[in-house]
Amino acid sequence: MRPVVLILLLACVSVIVVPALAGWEELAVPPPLEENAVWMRPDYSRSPEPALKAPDLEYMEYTRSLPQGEYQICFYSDDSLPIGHGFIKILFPDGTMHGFGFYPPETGLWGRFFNSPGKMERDNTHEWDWKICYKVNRSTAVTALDTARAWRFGTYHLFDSNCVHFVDHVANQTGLAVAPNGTPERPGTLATGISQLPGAIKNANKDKTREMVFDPMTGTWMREDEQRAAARLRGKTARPDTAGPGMPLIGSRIETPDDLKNLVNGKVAAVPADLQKLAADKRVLLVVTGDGGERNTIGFTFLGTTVTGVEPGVEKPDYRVYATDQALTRIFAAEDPVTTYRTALGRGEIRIEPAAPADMALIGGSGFLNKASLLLTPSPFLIRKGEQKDLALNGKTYTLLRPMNILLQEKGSTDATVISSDGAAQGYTTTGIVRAITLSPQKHTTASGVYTRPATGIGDLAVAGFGLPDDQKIVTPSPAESAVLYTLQGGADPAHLVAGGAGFAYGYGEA
Amino acid sequence: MAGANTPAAPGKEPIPRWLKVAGIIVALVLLVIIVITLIPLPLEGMVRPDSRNGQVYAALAANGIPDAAVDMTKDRLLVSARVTNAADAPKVKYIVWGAASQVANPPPVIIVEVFSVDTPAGTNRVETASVQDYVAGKITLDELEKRVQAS
Repeated sequence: MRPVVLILLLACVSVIVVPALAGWEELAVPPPLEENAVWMRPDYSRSPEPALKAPDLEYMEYTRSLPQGEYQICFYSDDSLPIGHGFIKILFPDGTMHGFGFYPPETGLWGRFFNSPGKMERDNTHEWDWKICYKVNRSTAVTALDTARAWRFGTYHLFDSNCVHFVDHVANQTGLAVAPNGTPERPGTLATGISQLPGAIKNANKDKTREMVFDPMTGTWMREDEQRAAARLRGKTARPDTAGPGMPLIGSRIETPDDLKNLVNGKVAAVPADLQKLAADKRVLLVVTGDGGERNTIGFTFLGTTVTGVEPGVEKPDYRVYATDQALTRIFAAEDPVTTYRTALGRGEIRIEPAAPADMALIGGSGFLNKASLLLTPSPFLIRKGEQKDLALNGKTYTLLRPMNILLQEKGSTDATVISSDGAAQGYTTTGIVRAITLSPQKHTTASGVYTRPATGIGDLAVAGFGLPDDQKIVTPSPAESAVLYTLQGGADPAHLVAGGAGFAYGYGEA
Repeated sequence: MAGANTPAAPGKEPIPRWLKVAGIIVALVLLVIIVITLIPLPLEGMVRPDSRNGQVYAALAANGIPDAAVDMTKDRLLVSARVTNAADAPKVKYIVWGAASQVANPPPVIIVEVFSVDTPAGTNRVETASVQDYVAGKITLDELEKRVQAS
């Protein structure tokens, strides 16, 4: 064979094999994120382990001072329509009662369904339909208090972390039952579960806010007026709820998927018939963009024009509806929702698309091209200590600054990505943390205040120049030696992009 | 050994000079490609997040103190926290101590700096062993407080 042919053959093989060999190493899937990732904004209602395991010492001192004796923990379900609720109460040996209920924030409408800061409120006088009470010792009561305390800064999520999940979590932690089997996630199922347990109490009071009072003399729960009468007969007075001023009935809030279903069904009737037809017997995926750019999905299943299922997603949706939180809030609050909807549609705040076949972007570029570009051209991320400059990336403006580490911060955001000089993300921090380090007279190391977490908008950095469908967003970076791994959200198949600095991607692999 | 001026074998045409040069160039280009591909990217400015920092940060955030700068070395745990309400400043150390008590193999000293917004609101230093003694119930909270060096 002629030498020239051999050389050409070698050239062809090398061009294919060598970059592939280099790329294979970079396409290796890193360890699961859970092993090396910490949420910057922890969702401790879903997993409040850190708070449970690390209570502050002042609270620890309080619990150590609690008396021994018989406590009671009661689990409640309010199954009223359209808004239901689940909550607990803890009765102390001295008769003091503390009620706890987990709520979403009151501001906004749709945005607060997902990953919004939850609130623990005193539910001493909330309506209830069913309850189950257990006599417990001090240790179990403290466990319930610990759990309620852990949830007080928890994140509210309509599907994963609502008021009923809180109740269920307390039950799990204390080893008590709120359902014969399964995990209740909605007030209806919680009520059903409680009602099936021996010892469950149905609220016989006409005024559902009135508590069935525990009569310590007879050891039974009875209506308050009956207890007072019995106590008078015994020459003693009833002990009222001394837990403090009761909370007024909480105003209407969407708290659970059932509430959302009822809300949507209540509005569907006002929608013109031609629009109703669009949704009839369909599966619709609603993609809501919050004010901060975060995206969340809700899947609606229609039977006729009635919503029968509300879930975090839906398989093979017939339609995808893209909408902003603000637009949806205006529509549902409007007296004329149809006109408001059409206005939002005209403004582009709502977009409806028939389901598209799942298509994943094929990533061009190779390890060689990226490295060659980095070696031959100066990185836009080179910056001196103390310097600050603006960068335009993928249509957005970022501030690049270097106090201790190189930080890339999207304009208007409080979070900053810690990057290397070639643009590879190495972690995340916030301006608050940077400020605390700046103020500190003690010496912080460069690793101080740098964490790994799934990012959102900053993922655009790695895919500049590659067209991804709008609903496939980079959400999960994980720092590696010299590349960043991103997980694509959405689409039929989860996939990973392995990206390097300077906006080039090394390759593409499956999760 | 065959050279450029070696007569071609009978029946075969000599390789043109230009083709030989092209072959050398291709080989050189391939060599450059291989070298560049295999060069590791520069690691200047590499920051390695410390997972133990994240553990303490998570506990602080779960107890209502977001955005604390957490720095753990083999010698000390340093937490710089900013609170918006000056009345909350004295409580920060209890939360930090609680968080630190749960870390495996913690450093021997815990230093807590608190800022009320941007105003220093006190720094305190305590041995981790003392905190662990309190958590284990060996000493009271008052006894622990006596072991704190405040400034």
